Amino acid sequence: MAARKPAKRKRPAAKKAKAKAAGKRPAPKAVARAKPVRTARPAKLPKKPAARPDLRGGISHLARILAEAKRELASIGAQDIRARHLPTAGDELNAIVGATEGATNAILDAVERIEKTANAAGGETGSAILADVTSIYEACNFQDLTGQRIAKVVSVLQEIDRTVAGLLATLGLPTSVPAGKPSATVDTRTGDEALLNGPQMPDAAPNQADIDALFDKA
Amino acid sequence: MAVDLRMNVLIVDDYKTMLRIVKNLLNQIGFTNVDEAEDGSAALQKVRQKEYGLIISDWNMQPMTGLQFLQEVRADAKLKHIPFIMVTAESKTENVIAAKQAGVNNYIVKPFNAAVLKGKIATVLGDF
Repeated sequence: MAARKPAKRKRPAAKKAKAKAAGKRPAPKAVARAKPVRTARPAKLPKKPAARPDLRGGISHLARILAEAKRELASIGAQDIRARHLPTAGDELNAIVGATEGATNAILDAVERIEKTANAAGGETGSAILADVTSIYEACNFQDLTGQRIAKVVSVLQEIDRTVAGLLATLGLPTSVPAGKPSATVDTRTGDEALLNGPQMPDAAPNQADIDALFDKA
Repeated sequence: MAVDLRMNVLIVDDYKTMLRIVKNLLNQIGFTNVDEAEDGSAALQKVRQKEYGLIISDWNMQPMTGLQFLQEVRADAKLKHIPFIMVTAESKTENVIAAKQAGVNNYIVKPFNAAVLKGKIATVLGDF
């Protein structure tokens, strides 16, 4: 069966002509209703998208991580890192520079004496000794270079200190150890291991006479 | 013209041991009038008070670096002629270029040996 075509709409002029022919008064034109005066509509605000479950979950997860980080920082004694470990590391490095400088000066004192003696001796022996004296001067370049490398490490430690302080402050934790509070890091070494501490700092280290006195008392 | 080994030489370094080493090596070469300074600003005062035939300077010093000292020397009409050798641990390409552009006569990288020091001085002043 063929599809029905939709009915044609009669044009208004055609309608009028038809009504006139039929002697009918054309229906009065419908008075167009005055359009109400409308004030400018406010711009449509975009609808707030409903928070997606995965985004909410992600934010909660981040909050848990931050809380955990804060607990861990508080428990590992990050303040101790600033108060004890970093200054100790810095002091040890400065002590290295001091010790190498002292040793280099002692070497140079001796080498200068040897040089004078070799110059006075002259001859082949004197020349041979002077060649080795020169080699020692060249080798003593090491003190300058180790000093510069150590200065770079000290600079890194200072940067670590600043970073740790910043992290503690951001997480609302104290940046320094409160007065009177014991250190959070405890030395747990026992037996022989506890006796391995390396050289003491120069200003605290006992000299041989002190050790002899201690030895005699022990 | 032969190099006058009696000329005043100024050596500049913030490490006293390095000053001692360079001075002793210069003495071995034959330079006997060697003065020392521990940074660029102290060195600048010295060069303004005494005539020097050669400056040998470190770079990494405070408060005035060797590069700043070199720039001051080259900017001063009375000092700009003084031969200047940089002796430094700074060894990047940009360091060498910066020193060259500032007017350094030669560049020795640490650690150095006596032969290199003598060779560079000869390159700058002439054979001796």
